Amino acid sequence: MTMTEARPAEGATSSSPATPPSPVGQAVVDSADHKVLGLVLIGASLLLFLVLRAVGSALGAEMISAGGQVVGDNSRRFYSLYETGIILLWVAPVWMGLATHLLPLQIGSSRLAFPRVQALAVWTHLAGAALFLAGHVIDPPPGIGLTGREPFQAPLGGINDGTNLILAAFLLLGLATLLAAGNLLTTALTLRTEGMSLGRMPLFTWGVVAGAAGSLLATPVFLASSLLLYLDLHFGGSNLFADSRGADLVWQKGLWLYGRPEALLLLVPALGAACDIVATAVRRPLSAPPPPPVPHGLKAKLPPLPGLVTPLAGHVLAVGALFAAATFSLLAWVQDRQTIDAVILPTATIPTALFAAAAGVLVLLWLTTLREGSVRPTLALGFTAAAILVAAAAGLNALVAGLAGVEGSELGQGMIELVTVGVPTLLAFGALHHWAKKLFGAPLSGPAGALALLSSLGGTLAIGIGQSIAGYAGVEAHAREAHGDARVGFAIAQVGHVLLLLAGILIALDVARVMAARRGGDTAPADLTDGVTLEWAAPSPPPPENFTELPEVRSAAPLADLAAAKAAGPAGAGRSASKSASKSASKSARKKG
Amino acid sequence: MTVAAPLALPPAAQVLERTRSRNAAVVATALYGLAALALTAALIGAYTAFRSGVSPWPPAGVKKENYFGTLLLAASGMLMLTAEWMVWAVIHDIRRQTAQASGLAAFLLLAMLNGVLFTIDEADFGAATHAYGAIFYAFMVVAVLTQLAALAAVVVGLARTAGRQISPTEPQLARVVAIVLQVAALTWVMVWGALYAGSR
Repeated sequence: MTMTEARPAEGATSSSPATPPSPVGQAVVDSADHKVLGLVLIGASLLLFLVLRAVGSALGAEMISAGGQVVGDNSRRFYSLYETGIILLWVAPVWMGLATHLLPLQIGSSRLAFPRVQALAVWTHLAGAALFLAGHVIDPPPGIGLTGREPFQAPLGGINDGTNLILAAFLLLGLATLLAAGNLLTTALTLRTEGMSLGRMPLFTWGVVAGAAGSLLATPVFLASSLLLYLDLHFGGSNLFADSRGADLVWQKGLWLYGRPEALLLLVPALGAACDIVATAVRRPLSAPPPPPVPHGLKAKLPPLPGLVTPLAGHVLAVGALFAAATFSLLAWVQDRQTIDAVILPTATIPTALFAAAAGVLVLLWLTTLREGSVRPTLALGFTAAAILVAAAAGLNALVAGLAGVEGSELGQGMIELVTVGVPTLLAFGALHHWAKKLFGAPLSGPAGALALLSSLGGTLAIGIGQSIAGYAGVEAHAREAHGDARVGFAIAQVGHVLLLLAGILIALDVARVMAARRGGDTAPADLTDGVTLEWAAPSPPPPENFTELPEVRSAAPLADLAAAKAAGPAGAGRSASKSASKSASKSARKKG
Repeated sequence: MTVAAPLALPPAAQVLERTRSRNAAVVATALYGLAALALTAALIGAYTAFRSGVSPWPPAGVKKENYFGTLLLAASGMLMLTAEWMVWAVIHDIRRQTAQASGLAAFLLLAMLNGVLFTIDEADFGAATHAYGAIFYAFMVVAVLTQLAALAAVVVGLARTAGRQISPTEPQLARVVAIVLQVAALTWVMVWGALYAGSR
């Protein structure tokens, strides 16, 4: 055996018997292993989800309590914390954590391009989250305004400490997003294993790439606006609070970043994850829908369309839809939300509708694939179906609102709960179940997952529908009191908040249980029948170097190829046998000199 | 127990890994550079939005000194050329010219930093005086940060050149330094376009 046959274990933390093991906390803080960093973010975001859901429940109770005295004078603080936090502290970090953990595994790499940069991004994000929470605890945020997305009057007596902290949190969270997005994108572009061309990358990785590319363009705008606001307020000014067109634009296009565009961008990796969940359920890549029937006379004149109905066509179509979704999410933000010609009021502008169309293409691909394949039902697939159901409910709601001419009310909040919070939350829970063996070393509990699925689906629908009912009853967004039908709507929404809190507790406890059971446990060898993409070729949980051996990559579904070759017999297996990654690396090195 | 004798050359897999890491550095620098330019473009967007809503613009009492802004623009142009000269010298294995180009780039960056700090010193308004002030200082903060980053990159590049760690076969670090220099220069070009050329 030559030296080159051993896979370089970069990123591995070898421990000699003489060295005493470091405490878990220190090992986590010191670690630049993408799997540890991903788990840190996922764990932190799950905890923050519970906190924010508790805050949402308190707000819901405020609306249905007589006299509205549950949160008292703190309603502004609670609204700001819940509505900004649910995107910044839950949806964004949970998907960043999943991408950090899974992307190198999916492309056959042993590490991220810059492990220490990712560690910096993760800890910066957590520091930003801590500052954001502290800012809301110390002072109500009059300087930021409710949710940081509209220009408000300057705070009397100047900026308070809470606003200062929240602004610093915005800068840190934006910086962390930027660092992570650049690192993930670089990893996907440069550290793919041999044979893994761009076209063969799994769709979750493509979703991360599209989302990261959009974030690299959108987040600097958020940072620039935060910098402007910080300079203005910190030195005693109030120019960005003046009721001028300029101030409006800075608020809407800069600080509203984490409202529409970032939330839609965060949906892109979620959609990519759903693609992989569906492909895994049928053990093959996505299929394109069959072409429409062509009249017999015309058919003779048309040239044949080779490859249109092949699995590759479905994969390529999905990649195109993911990139289209990322592009339309940026366009949705570029449009001025007050001057646009909205096609469907209250929240759907033309680019938003185009985003929905791109997502609709993906749903069509999923349904085609499921119809043509032999489906192995899983909880992850159930969460994906729930997300489709919620998205369909939101579309129907938008249509009804457009016909009824309702806009700018609590209805918009309901739509945000359905689309920008509900769908990525359901898909995040689905992704945690789908990749649990790779993330935590063992699958999550089926009964607990089923209960979480039911309660999260019911909760999301209840919040969205309840708030929409209040909107149809004429309640303005962020109102403090409700009567009649609106009160019924808020009561339904309150049930939804509690159900989602329950779902979050179930998932968090299940993850904690599996993680506790895993400590000190053995690594299970890879089960190549678990899925079709490369991450399933890694042991569970993956060792520091990720893979002990890698199959040859010849398509977007290398493990399906391997299974087909094995099924074809010794000759086929011989042609496409599992090949040591070190051998392929050394072969490539010889080729390159 | 037998101990294997160390090889004179690193294993092929390690060579491949090192090359990929260096290519990753070029890609990452280009991406983060793009983000830095997007940040400046966002400030230009805010500047344009305020200019259309606030009258007079720039506000009364703001004295614009075009001389230094334009001088810095010329320095930016020279910096861009110097960056490409440095890469050319590395590719053609002319170490003397590599060092000269790096030294000139460092000198130009120090001059630009001095010019920007002088421009800040000369401004007789604060960040909170008016919206123009907030955007002006935001522009200056971004310009200074990109120039400091470029200066750090040039120092690293010079050290690596002196240590013979940049070669025609591994020119990626030179390309990384050049990208950082280009971003610093382009940032000032954009700032100049907004504050000086685009101001009415």
